[in-house]
Amino acid sequence: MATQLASKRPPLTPGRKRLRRRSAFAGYLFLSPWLIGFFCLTAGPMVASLILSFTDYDLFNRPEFLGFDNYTRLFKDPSFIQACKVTGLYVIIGTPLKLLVSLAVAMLLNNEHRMRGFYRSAYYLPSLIGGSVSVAIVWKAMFIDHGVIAQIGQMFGGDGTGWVGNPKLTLPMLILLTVWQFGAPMVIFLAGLKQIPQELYEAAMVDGAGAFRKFFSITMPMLSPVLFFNLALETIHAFQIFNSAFIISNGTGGPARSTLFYTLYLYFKGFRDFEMGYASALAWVLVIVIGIVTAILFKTSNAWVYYSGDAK
Amino acid sequence: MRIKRRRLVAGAAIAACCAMTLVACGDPKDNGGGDKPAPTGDALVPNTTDPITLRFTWWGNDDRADRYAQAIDLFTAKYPNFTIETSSAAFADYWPARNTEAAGGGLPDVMQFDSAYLREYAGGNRLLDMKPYMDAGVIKTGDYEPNLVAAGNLGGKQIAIPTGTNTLAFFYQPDLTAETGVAFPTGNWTLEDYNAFCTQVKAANKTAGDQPIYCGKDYTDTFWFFLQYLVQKGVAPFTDAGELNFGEDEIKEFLAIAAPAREAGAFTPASRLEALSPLTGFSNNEAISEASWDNFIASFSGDTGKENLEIVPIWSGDNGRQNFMRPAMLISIGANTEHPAEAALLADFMLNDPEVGKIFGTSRGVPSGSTVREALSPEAGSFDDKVMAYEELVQESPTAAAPIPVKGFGTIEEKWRTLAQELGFGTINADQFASEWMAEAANAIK
Amino acid sequence: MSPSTLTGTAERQASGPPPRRNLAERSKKLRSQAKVRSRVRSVLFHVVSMIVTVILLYPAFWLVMSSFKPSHEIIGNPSPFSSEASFDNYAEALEGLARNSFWTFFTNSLIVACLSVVGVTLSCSVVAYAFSRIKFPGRNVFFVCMISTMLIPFHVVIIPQFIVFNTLGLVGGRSYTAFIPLLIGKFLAADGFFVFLMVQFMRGLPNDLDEAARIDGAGHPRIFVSIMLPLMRPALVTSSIFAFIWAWNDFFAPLIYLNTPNRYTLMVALRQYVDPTSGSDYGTQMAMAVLALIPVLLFFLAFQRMIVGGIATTGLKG
Repeated sequence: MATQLASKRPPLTPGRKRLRRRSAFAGYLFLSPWLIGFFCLTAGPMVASLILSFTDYDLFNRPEFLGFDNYTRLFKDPSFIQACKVTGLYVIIGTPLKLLVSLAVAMLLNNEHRMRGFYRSAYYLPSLIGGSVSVAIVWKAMFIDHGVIAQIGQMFGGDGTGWVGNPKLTLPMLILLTVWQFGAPMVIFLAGLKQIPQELYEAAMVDGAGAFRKFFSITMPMLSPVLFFNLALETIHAFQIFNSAFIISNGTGGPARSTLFYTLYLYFKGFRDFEMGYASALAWVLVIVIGIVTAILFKTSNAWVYYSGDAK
Repeated sequence: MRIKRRRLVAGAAIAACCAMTLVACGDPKDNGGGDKPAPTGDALVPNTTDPITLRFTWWGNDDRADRYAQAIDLFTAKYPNFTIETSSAAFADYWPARNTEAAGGGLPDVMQFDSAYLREYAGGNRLLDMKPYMDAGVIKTGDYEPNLVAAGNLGGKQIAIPTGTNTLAFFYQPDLTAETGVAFPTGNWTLEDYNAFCTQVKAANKTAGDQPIYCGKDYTDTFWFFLQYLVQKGVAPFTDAGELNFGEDEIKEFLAIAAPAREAGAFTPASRLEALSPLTGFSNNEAISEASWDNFIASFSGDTGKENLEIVPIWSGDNGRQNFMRPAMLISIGANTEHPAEAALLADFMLNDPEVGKIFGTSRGVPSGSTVREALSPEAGSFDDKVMAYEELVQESPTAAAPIPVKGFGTIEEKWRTLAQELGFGTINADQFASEWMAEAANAIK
Repeated sequence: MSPSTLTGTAERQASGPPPRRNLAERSKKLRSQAKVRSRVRSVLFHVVSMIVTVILLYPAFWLVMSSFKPSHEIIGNPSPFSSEASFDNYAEALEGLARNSFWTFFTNSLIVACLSVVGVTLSCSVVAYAFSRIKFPGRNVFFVCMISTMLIPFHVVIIPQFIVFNTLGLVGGRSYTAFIPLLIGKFLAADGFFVFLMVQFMRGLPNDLDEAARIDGAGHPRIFVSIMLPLMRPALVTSSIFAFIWAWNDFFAPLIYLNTPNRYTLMVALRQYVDPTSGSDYGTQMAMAVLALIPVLLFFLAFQRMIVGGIATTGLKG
């Protein structure tokens, strides 16, 4: 039996057939929690929300079919356009900035030093708590009028007004909050840096390569798969920011819709105004946008991500 | 073969889940109420012997929570067989929670209600018709103005009863007028007079602490003020069919009245208001005046820590002030309640018990019933006294009927507030305000 | 440059040049130069790292210090220390809101977080076993499906889910059934991250053990329970830690599904403190915020190496 299992393509004897069927049964049995979850909590609801997005369902009345009305309404809706703008800026500025900082700090920590482990943990901590309501509350209190940040600003000639009440500064404030949580991508960068064979650097040193040369010719190409992974992950997360914007704007998306992130608007439409149909259309547009962005990332990754021969 | 079967299974599972969702959508629930025949006889008599548990909920701040706690203690002392479970939320959070409960047929037994949402709840059998209990004398509205009772009667059903009335008023701080040396307009003043007052305050260039003193916030920022403005112009804001009776032009006109003062920077800046939120310049002692419902005086006093706030009549239009008396703080009963007669007893207690009336004073508006009103007997000079005197004063001159909120009123009122904030920040102009608000209203009202 | 070692905490003194070069003379000279250079670099490293640490941890420090200050000092006084420091804010926070004490919310959060841990470890380990150890038709297709669920924003499923739960009468309410919508996904392995983490881990385990057991006639349930589960302990612990912390910090789902105060989790209750009606009582907010963070911080202190290690191997979000 053992040899039979090991051989590559055995003829399907009745016994083997039975074995395969048994194994298939066990497979589906073990998979069943996920299968139920997938169909009932993911695939089914996705199809359902697609159907809902063509209706005017409001939780109370029988839904009516609207065709593409919800989708055409989207593009005439100033709040939708604002939500796209805010979220887009947040993703485009916040994500690269966060990755830049995390890469820089990872490079710093990638040397043998005392307390390296301590620093690594300390830098990671914000990532762990950053999404919680507590931190959003702290952030808000720090950036309010006459708060700590305003007072520091005053030392440099500011007028003591905070960032929270200024529509031009709320987005930078939230970007700072995400950059503050650079620990998670940093830890992944560190793991990636550790994988780079030391011989490459030694060979480069013999060739007289400087630090910059080494960084751009060895570190970057070798690290590019990790960078790609981080970029994809952080981008997808950035699209879904909710907690901090919700708390900092007191659940309004204000001031002046400056923190009206996409998910916030979706929440308002779906769970405050109960326009379930319209909110479903919003959700599907988000799925499509994230799909397109992910596809673009993967397509362009061929050009800049370097997979060495022994990559898994 | 196998692949086909698997696809079939997967497809069936997805289809089942979609079907479940869509059946859930397509079958709006009866919400527990049903079209039961009107209760008669014993069903109308509240049970005061067996243990009864009721849920009661309201919106409001801690101050109101304290008062309700006292009121409920009184109720359970009088009827020891009752247990009242309470909950409260901020106004903005209150409605999503009620909406979900209504959709699932789980509304509280008794709840505070707002006229802004009545139309939405009138259909679908969500709120109990209280008429039988009024006829049976469980809920006593004999000493109410008939139009107040009528305000809670939609489609022939008494789905809500107002606790009291509110009317719009201006508040100002004598301490700050003294500080700036600019007097608040007197007599039959107009909004133009108020603009002039604002620019004078700005020119006085005085500060409170490290903040400049302003006349107040932009008065066009509240939807109810716009409605008052329309009423003064002789325009009923909503048609009987529940549609808007005005257009972008009226909105632009109204916004334009404040434009000179707004452009001169004579109002508390939007950024300052945002930073102060939930307070305002007025409640933080850095603005002289603010317009609001007259029952706000107690909470303004709490915020400012000042006892000497003044309450004065609103501006006059071409045909005088035309204040309307808004039925406020309505009490409703969920149609799904298992104890309708007992819920009615609690509702009546909250509406009509003189002791409860004393606990709340005018913080829920001037009480609807004359018995409760007389029981208040406020001290001269107290806030309750001021508010009651104000409503008497208002009623001396001709008043208008309060506009009955249309469906989606809550949404369009909120939209007005956010757009006004943007106008203050300068991120949109008055034309954009008007067109965006109208678009939102078209969606919310239909 | 020293060759990097595997453990991050290894304490090595400044090292010599790489051993492969045999030019003794140059090597000696280089070594002393390197020693000086590495001393300078070490000092520089610590200075920079400490600055980064201070900046990063300042908000946390500020939060803790503020929680002892009266509200007006939190905003007005930039100094972290206050002459009026007291535990008043904590006393106020423990009183809770809407007649529910702080401990009600704390217990609710604890129940949700603990049941999440149970659900995630149970369901994901079983599913991961199927993906990594059993051959069955369609396995790869399902695996790809599982991976792609990680990319899908859950906002697209939350509306139909809400409608169904609402129809079933599971939204809100005073009883513990209000937690079902929050937990059902955990028991159905809906979070692809945990499945992926465990699949990766199981693939790293040698095949001999379970193959030997299979030859002895053990079925998959036996192999899973008596062989795989004990071996999976590290992955289970990492998953548990993250399942707990994420469930504890979760805000969106509780915000939607819980609407009676006696079933609020801490995060939803915390949001009520920031609510306009309670005014700007920053003191209580800060104390509540600290109390809400304590369990997460305790977890972090106890398991920091596992948490950071888990991130490094699977790239989990923070």
